[in-house]
Amino acid sequence: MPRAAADTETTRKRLVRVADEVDEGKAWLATGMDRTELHKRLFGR
Amino acid sequence: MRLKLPRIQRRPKLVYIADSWRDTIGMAQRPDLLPFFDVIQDCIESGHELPRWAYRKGIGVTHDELLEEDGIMHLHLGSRDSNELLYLIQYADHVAYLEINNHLHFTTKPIGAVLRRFHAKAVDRVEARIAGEVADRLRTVKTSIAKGLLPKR
Repeated sequence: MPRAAADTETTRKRLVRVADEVDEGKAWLATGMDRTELHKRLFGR
Repeated sequence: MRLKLPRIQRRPKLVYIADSWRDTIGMAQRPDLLPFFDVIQDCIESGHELPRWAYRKGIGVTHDELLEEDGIMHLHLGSRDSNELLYLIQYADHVAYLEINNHLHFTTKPIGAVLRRFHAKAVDRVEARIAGEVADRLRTVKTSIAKGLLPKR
């Protein structure tokens, strides 16, 4: 495979991997969390 | 798996936050609404009945298409007339918060189309996680039963 094509393929794979990781973000449990911390995570305050 | 009940059941439930969570009204600028959010959170976690202001007018009388079609309910922050809503999904032992928004999702055609699409994958992940928890619990129960049934040495 020519160098340029190989680089493109590598980049594509990296992007797919990043997208997969983002897509596999986890739901998180709010129960039991300190209320101030919960507000901060949900509302940024 | 999703409950399509008009009210939150009176039993303690764990609260999950979908990873697609968004606060579109900017609660940071509305500290007056935080106590109402906290009351809802406390009631859900403790299994106490939610106050009347959290539920819409006409509950149980008029249709809530979003709830009936998708199992997505909304609770009011502050009063039954408020335009600040917490959208969530109720399950047997859990709820999943999706977002805080106004009545926008009731104006789309079909109703809830944007909401559904925005949270679809995240809700799948919440439900997979809940299913995993249920499976773990069942395994534990089965193991306990099996141990209890084994003859004692």
